[in-house]
Amino acid sequence: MLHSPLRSLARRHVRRAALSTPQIRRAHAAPGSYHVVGRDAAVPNDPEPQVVDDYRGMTAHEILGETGVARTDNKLRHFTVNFGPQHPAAHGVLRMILELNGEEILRTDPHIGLLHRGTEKLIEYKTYIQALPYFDRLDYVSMMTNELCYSLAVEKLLNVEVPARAKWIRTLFGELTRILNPRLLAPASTPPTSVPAASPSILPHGLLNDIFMWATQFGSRVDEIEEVVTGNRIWKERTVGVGVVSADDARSYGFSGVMVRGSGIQWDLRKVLGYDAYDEVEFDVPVGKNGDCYDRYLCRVQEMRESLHIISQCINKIPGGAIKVDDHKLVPPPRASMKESMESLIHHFKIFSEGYSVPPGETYSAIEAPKGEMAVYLVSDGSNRPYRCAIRAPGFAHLAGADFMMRHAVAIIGTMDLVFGEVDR
Amino acid sequence: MLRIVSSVSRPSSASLLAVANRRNIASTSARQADITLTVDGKEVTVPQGSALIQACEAAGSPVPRFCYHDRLAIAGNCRMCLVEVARAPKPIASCAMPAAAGSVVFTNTPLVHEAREGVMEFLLANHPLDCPICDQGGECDLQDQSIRYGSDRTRFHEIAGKRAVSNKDLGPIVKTSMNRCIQCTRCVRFANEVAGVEELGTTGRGNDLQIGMYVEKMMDSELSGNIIDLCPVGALTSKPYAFHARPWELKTTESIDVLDALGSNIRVDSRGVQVMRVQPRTNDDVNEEWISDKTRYAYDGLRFQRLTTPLVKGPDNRFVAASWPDALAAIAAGLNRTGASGNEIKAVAGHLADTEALVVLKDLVNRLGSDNLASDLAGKFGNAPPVHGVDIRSNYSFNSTIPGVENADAILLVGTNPRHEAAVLNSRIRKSWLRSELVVGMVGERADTTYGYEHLGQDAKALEKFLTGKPSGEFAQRWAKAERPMIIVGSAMAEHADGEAVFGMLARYVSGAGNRVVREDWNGFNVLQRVASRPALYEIGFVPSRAAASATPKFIYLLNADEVDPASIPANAFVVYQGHHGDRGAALADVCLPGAAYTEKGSTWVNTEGRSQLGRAAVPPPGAAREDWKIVRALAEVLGVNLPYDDLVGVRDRMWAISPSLVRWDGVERTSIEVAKAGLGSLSAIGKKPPGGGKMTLVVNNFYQTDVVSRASVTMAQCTRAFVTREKEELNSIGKEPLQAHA
Amino acid sequence: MPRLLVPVGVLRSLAAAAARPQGPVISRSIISSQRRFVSASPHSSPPTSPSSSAPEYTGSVRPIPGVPNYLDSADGLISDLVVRKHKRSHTPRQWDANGNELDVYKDGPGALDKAVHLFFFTEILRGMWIVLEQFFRPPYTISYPFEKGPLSPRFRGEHALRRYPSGEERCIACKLCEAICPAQAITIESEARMDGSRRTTKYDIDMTKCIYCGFCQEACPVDAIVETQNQEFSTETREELLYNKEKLLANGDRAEAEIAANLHADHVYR
Repeated sequence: MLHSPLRSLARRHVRRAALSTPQIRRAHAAPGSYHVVGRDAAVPNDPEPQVVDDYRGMTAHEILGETGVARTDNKLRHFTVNFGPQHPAAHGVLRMILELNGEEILRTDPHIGLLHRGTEKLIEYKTYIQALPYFDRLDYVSMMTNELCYSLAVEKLLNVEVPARAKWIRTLFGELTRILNPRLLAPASTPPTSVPAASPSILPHGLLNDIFMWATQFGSRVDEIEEVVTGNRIWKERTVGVGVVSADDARSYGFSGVMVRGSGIQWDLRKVLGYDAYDEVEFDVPVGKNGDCYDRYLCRVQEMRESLHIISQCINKIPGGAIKVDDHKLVPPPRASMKESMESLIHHFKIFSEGYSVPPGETYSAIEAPKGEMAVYLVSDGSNRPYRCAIRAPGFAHLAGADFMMRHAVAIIGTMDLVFGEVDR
Repeated sequence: MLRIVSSVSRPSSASLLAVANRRNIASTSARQADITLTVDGKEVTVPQGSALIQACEAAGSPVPRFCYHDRLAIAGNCRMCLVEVARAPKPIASCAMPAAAGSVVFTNTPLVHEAREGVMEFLLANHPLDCPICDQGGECDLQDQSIRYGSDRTRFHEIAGKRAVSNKDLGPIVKTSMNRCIQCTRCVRFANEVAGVEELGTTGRGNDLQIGMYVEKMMDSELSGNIIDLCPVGALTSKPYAFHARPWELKTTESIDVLDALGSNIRVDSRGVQVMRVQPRTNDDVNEEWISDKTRYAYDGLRFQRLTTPLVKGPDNRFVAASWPDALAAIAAGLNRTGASGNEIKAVAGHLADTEALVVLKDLVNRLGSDNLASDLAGKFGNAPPVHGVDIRSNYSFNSTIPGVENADAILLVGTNPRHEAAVLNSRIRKSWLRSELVVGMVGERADTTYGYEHLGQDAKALEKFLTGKPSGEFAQRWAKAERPMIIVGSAMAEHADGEAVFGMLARYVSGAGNRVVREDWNGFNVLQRVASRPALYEIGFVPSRAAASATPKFIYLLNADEVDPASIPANAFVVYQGHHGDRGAALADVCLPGAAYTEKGSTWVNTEGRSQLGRAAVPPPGAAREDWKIVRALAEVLGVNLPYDDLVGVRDRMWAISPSLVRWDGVERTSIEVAKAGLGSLSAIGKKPPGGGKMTLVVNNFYQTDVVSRASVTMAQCTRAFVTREKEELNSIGKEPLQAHA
Repeated sequence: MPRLLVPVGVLRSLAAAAARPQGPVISRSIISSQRRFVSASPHSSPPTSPSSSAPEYTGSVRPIPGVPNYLDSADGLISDLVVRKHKRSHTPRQWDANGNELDVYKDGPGALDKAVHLFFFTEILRGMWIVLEQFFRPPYTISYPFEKGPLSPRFRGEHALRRYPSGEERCIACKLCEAICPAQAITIESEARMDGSRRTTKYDIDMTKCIYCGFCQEACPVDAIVETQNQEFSTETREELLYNKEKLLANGDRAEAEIAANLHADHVYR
């Protein structure tokens, strides 16, 4: 590779400006490459762009291709900065190595694993009940849909179906979670423990009323948000045309949820699978057009409105009746009977000490989590612990698109809706 | 404290020949023709006379049960094992029903499920709500089967409350909570058939049925702990273990017991660094599934009086804690100071020395130029070569093998009480005695053996009279006609003044009897060892040469030797004690090296049959204690002796070189008949002098405290008080108890 | 009042003296007209063809190799602070099923509207008005340490061990809480007390491990271990969060009335 002295000067300038980052320091510490550059003065009038401004308007591919055929041949290193893991805009412990051309991000290399706890492996050593709280901590802003996903998987292996009321409760709380998810506002009351393996816990008296009161006024809160943001030219400046995902890319990267719907693909597991009570409620699924951050934003806002619609239907249509499977081999018996019935006490004791055994089998059960397709692949060997539990977290697939999407990192992380609990697991 | 057992459980000797009358317990001694039947659509072939439940097991269809147990008589009172048999009007209790050829059995039909559910419901109707405070919780058959086969809700409510039964006092081992009892009677059958405690039984009928002692007394048996395992519910639980741990907290390690020479297979359950309990492991060739109370409950001795750091005796005759290098250097200095050389260097192996450490110690001592390898046999006998020699294994082993006891038709006990020297073996003798025409004769001090025997005398002269004279009496007649006569010589005979005479006259008798006692398919000459280390000791030749026996030691190395006679240690000798408890041996020492107890090291143990088995470490040794062979190896390094192994594999290679059977774990290598006869021939040459006539006294006076571990154990101290010294438990006794009880 | 939004690109639009076709600038109206890909029937499979009102995804943003496609749709409110040299001039074109080209902006705002919005910052002002309104509304937040929000009786906070009214501790060392604890935060050691009852000698909860799942109080057969509503137990050192039995019993003694009330409030549901 041949470079002009002028270019190397410019490069030196860039590097000096970037002394604070470790990458650049390493480049300084490797004198070989630097001196090679300094020695070759063979081509005096290099027609290539030489300063940062010269790259303006070029695509990342063009800029990266400008200095070498392959990156390994590339003597010129772009300004590289480290983003995160402790960055307020990183939504958790995302660490990205950003390769910059001026202020434009050319490449993004996400480094994950800082929140890795080995959840999937841990679950193999927990009983089916004990594994449940681990799901709260995956996507920690949509705890209830995570638990729901796991519960559906266990129920499928157990071949049980929860009563209708339980399904409606799950739908209700699933939608509350969906609204909660864009991190705009938390529901007014702390929701109860949601889904112990076979059923959600009982709605306390008055909770539905509270939810109703909250949901009625929440529509106007959404209006306010839209009033401030949707048409705002600054907002659009930062979102329109940013982080475009084509439909093909979305498919091939395994995106789901708003990340595919924003790109115009009509796909929503609530419609496709109709789990819980979703086949009994009426709602629309917003689909974007351009696959950019703005469309995804619009989709999410619209989804909040649809969720409110579903919530009001749930409140009105929720049936009475049992909320747990009527089988105390799986569900702990009521406390009152546990204190006076031997059978109940034994079942209580065994469920809480040993758990229940799940028939051998495997299942992949997916739901439409607020962030996309959340799924649990669960293999049972017939014992009281999962043989294998693999979690398909939507954020993980979305982060895979970071490299080609990231030109405006922060806005894109926002609409990707990454939560590192689930990405790192 | 002798009991007349024979009149209770077995017909009197007058009717010994009335076979039909004697088989009061069902058994299938001889294998009979096979029959074929269908279980759940699967054809299965079982021996005729099997119970239906066994056929179901063989077909792979598990049948729940509470009262049925493979090793006990059939009771058929829990009704949990109901199965459906084609053309039978009602469900059938499969344990009480003999399998019939051609019958078609179903274990998985709605009828069967309903029947099981119904039985569970009745069992639970009167069961107290004790699960949270019951030690059985988590390993309770009632819980498991309720989950698996029972209903998930109650339909009954006893208006008058559940049945209440008062608890029984069965001694310091077994804790009773009789409200929980489901009257399966497993404990009663075990006590009667195996343990020989015939006072345990049932009284009352129906709802009033109770389990208890017929007379107000404790369950005096060294096998009583097994009824805790047998009890399917929490009615009988363990007192020493009470409320200490839940089964799911425990780490299980399969190991070998060393508190007698039987090598019972055990399961050591530990939590953290503490052994929480010891349970039996099934091995039909050794202990079936029983272990003695000492094996089971001496583990708390592993917590007390432990040596945790090397100790060096200072100038004021007090032990001072030292580091390992300092302690080893002190030993090297002591060896130099005494100027001991050759046979003046003496090693003494004790009860609980493992084979690896013995091999390494023997190599070390031999390389220091000494043959003075003594053991802690009683009195002076440890300092001389044992009377039976060590050249031929069959001269000091239990050649008939432990299961072989059940084939014997006449047993002659010489100077031994198997009940206290090998409690589980004793239960085999009792089982055989109950189920077959076995007769037992005994020479030695009278003891309560749990089976009837004919007492032939107390000393070697009586034995001589029996062997060479013309004895009368029923045992003598039966002995003369026995096809599989069995002689069991106690290990105490090797420590008796008449030992040579006894071994000599027995060897001459056996040799003279031609093929009657020792032949191709039967070797009836047995020595019953009572100490775990001795078979290995003899196997590796850890015995002094004749020259060494007369040397005066200046440097003495006690490896776990706590029973050593203090008189045999000269006052100016330098004494090193290596072991795990600060007991008698440590008191004699100048330097103490903390070793590992049997639950803390992976080591080889050889049982009285010559069966080598591998014990495994369940917990780490406390403090600075180390595995014993490593300590000896380190000492060799300090003494400048080069031993050709650095790791366990190397030590075991060395053991292989000494005797391959030491590392062929779990098997018994029988001595060939020619070698065995040659061994008897060599024994015949000794002891030609007439015996002195000293009484053969019992060598184990207190079954519960025979070694350092059991002496340090609180539970064993309580058992001693309850069963040996028979002290009355008094409320104001606190403070007057022996210190050991509080440890 | 209809929402009027003017893209910056209207400059160019004015120059072209026509309502030039533009990207999807309207939020709700367009989205809501596109969104109904679903039928109301349950278990419907995803429709493969778009419904009548939804323009099919035309692939106008489909990437062209070597050309950045994000600029396709960037003809909305893009300021000219950044000069996009590579901006492509063609507009997304759409066709109906019959091949007739659709004018997607037929019903869009006129050039004048756009110009007004552009120059008078209408959408910004409207947004700021909302913000201004908030100044005069009572705050949503509360002054936390002095005011506290409502807590559910099911709230799971700091742990406590309870006693019977007689003063006897409830815990019977059954260890179910220890067994169920997914985080293994509970450590119990137990033995028989002098009176023969089953009691703990040690009941430790590592509050740094605890995940407040509430399984322990679900598992407890005697309602001994409970999670109180107290969430304010932060400490200065980590060691203070390793609770022992005395601490837990003290918590229980302090909050017994509240605990009992909460258990009573929730007992019908458990």
